[in-house]
Amino acid sequence: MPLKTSSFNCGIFKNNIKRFWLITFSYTFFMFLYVMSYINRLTERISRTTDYEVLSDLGFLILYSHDGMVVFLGVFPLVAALAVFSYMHFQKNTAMIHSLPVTRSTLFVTNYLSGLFIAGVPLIFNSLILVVFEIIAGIPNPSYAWIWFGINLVLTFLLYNFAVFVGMFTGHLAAQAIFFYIFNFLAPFLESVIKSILNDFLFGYVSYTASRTFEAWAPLYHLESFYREFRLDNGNIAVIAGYVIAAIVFLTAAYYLYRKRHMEVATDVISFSFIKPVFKYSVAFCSAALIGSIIVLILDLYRNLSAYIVSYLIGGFIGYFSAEMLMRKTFKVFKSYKGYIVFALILSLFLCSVSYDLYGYERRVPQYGEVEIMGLSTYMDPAIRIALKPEEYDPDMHRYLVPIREYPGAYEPPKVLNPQQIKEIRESIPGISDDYEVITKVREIHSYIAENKKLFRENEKLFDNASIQQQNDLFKYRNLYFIYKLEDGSFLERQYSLYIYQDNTELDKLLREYLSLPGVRESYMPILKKNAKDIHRIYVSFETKDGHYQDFEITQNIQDFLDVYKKDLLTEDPLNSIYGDGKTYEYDVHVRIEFKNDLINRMNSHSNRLSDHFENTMNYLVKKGVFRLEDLMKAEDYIKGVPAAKVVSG
Amino acid sequence: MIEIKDLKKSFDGFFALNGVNATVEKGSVYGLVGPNGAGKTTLIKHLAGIFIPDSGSITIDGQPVYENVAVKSRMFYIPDEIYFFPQASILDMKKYYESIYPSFDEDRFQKLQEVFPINPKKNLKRFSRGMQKQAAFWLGICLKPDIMLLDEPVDGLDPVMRRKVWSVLLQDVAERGMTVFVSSHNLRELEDVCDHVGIMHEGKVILERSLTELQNNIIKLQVAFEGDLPEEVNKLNILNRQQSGRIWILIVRGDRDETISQINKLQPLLVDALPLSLEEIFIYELGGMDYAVKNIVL
Repeated sequence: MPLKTSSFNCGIFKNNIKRFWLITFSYTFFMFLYVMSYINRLTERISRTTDYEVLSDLGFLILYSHDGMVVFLGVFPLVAALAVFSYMHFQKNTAMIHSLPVTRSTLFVTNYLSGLFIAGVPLIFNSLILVVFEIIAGIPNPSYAWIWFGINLVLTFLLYNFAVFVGMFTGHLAAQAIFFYIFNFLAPFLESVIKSILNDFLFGYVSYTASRTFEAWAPLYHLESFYREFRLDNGNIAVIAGYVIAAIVFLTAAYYLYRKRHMEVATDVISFSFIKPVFKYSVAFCSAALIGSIIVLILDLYRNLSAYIVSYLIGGFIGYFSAEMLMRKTFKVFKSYKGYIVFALILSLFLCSVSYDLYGYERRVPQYGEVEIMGLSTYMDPAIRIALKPEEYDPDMHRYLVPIREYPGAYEPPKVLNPQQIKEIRESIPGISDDYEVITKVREIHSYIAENKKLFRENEKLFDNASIQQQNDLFKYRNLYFIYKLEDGSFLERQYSLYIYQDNTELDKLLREYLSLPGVRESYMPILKKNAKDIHRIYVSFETKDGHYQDFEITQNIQDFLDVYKKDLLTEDPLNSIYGDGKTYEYDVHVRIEFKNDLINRMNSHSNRLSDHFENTMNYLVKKGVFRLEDLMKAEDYIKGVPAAKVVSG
Repeated sequence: MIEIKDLKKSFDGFFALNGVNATVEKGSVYGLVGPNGAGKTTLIKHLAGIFIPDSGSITIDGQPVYENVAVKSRMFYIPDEIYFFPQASILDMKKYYESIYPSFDEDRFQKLQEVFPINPKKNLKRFSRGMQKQAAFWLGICLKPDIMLLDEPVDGLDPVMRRKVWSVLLQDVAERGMTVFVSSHNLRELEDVCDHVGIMHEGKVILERSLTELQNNIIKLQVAFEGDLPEEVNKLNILNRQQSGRIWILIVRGDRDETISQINKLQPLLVDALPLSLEEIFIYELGGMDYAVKNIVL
């Protein structure tokens, strides 16, 4: 009997559960296998220890693996939604269901709850098995099993609601599934495509390969991070809350759309006319981005604006008219070309505006007064960003940055960085400064690069067209990463990969001036600040003519060696030291100097292959009897096939 | 009583219903006829509360149908293409309907087993189209609805089963005052069961009468005169005329007695009023709406 006073119909609910029992059963069964495999691994480990602390830690093993759950969460909530609302997508099914004396609210609520039951019960059942097992097995803290359950429950709720929501604006079963997956990964996809466009055209654009910004917008993709964060007791409650809110929004929207839905739209790809233009232009844009990028990649049309536009318009053309064909269910859709022309114009304008830097991105160099602190590195180092803005520190991702002094039994990074740690991190990364002179000089370098885009682009073309011999002889490569933390807390980052051709020496001149400022060169080469008391040990490695490598440890007169070595280092062109270009090597002699450092996870050594410039150092080593020059392997005599190294202490 | 007022419904700009007005009295059997694409199924789906109208209204005993559980629980709709749940048997569907329709009559279900010789435990998807129709009637009749909405109801049923089904339905009409709203192209059959007929064309009900009125309103006359057909005959509302020698067959719209009286005044050699089938009425009425039967020579 229907419950007339509520929006729930028990008969329909029972019928759904009965009809779709196989989905519930198979989901429960497969998840059971997954949980059992984990329990099996856990049992093995438990049998090996009675240590309370080790047992306590075993609980979070469940949060180590996410692959199985990605499959489960990516499939079953969708299948549940498809099953309980599938009738909407078929004319005769929807006619039968909607002719029943049941309101749309009741139908929606009852079917929705049926699907939630199908998607939720297997998770609840298996989570309970997990918790009960952990309690029986004597794991002192089964809270990770509850966390595992909680995360998966939230994701089930979100993904199921999303699948239902997607179903409301399509009248096609396959389209519902396809849209579900497309939308699940749309944000990271668009982010990477737009970054790729910007990277191709914007001079100085910084493209992070691994984006954190939109990862959370793809919950299935984000699951790994999600597990990891909670495993480290650093779970992002804001993301959980965001997912719950999003799930509620999807549910509310789905309910509203269901009540407004015209049932004659069954079999239509898009069920609401107001969504049709959104769908059409979205498909056109995504297709332009995807197909356009593929054409650009295959034909190597990198940075060629007109070719880029044509490639993207071809992609857009395919997407736009495919969407029209799907919506109108006919191939005769080319009369609607006007919409495509508008789309093509807007897309072309966008690409042109990026290429010609209408937004002033390339020209932007911050004023001195805007900059709180800055960094200049020879490569794009995300660590600098954390050093400048410690609020973005993530204990899991950036644990390697945190200075530690001793190896504890189970090292856990701090959840937030204290001022001392921030200071130490900043000191350990080259090129970070808040000094007026340094910032002014860095701005000057940055401005010079920004103003000479054309020159560097031409150099790049010349480099591409040069032979390998010409590339080696005529060009120098300079990679520079600028990062400014502005007074308002925001960042301004630019990265340049520049080729310097023959007489274009202005940039090198500016860089030398920068490196000659007090303390700057030392920040890139900490050895220059070190004295004998700071040195743990010094090794000299060299290859002899008989093909043997030998290691020699300098244990006496360390300060003498350092004085000679630093003298050679300081008279070397600083750019050669940093970029390693312009060096010649007659011998294969290496110096490795290890520093005394109470921070065990910092880079605490200096290594260098001695170039011909290190004449004084070589003479010193000969004088001290480390080797004789006539015994050393020369570069032109180099023989392949190196025997095992032999250590000789002196 | 079902009242449809100025009902409009468009699909992508095409008006499937373009201002439908109709009234169906309680306890009547209302036959809806019309050419393909006239909007009959669309109208029935509105009556069943499946479609949301663009404008206009449908009321049953003064109550709107759409989203009205009380009204919809008094109706049952048997579409042309019937849907049963996959794997479901008649008994499964019975359970389902029992949980939704409070009026489901178990005794009837048992009794009707004699009428419908099909296995209620067998998967319905394995049944033929005709057998599925039987199952739908079996279940629908057990709900004891006040209004039965039928779209091409007996399509697929054998002649014996057609009779049985109509017999049971008409019994409910007679005993319980059930209203039957039926759309069909089988005009011969409708003629036997309907007391009211509505003719739909291009999204409108162009004609709505009782069958008797309809048959009285159009007359098929066989007349013969000395010489040609007198000019005065053209004053009659003649829908169609055919000549065979001196004998004319005239289809005339108007009152039967009055028309014959007017013809008699012209001193015909022969006047004979012939019975007109619903099919003929349909053809001649729509002939006036630019939907005439044309002889096409290929």
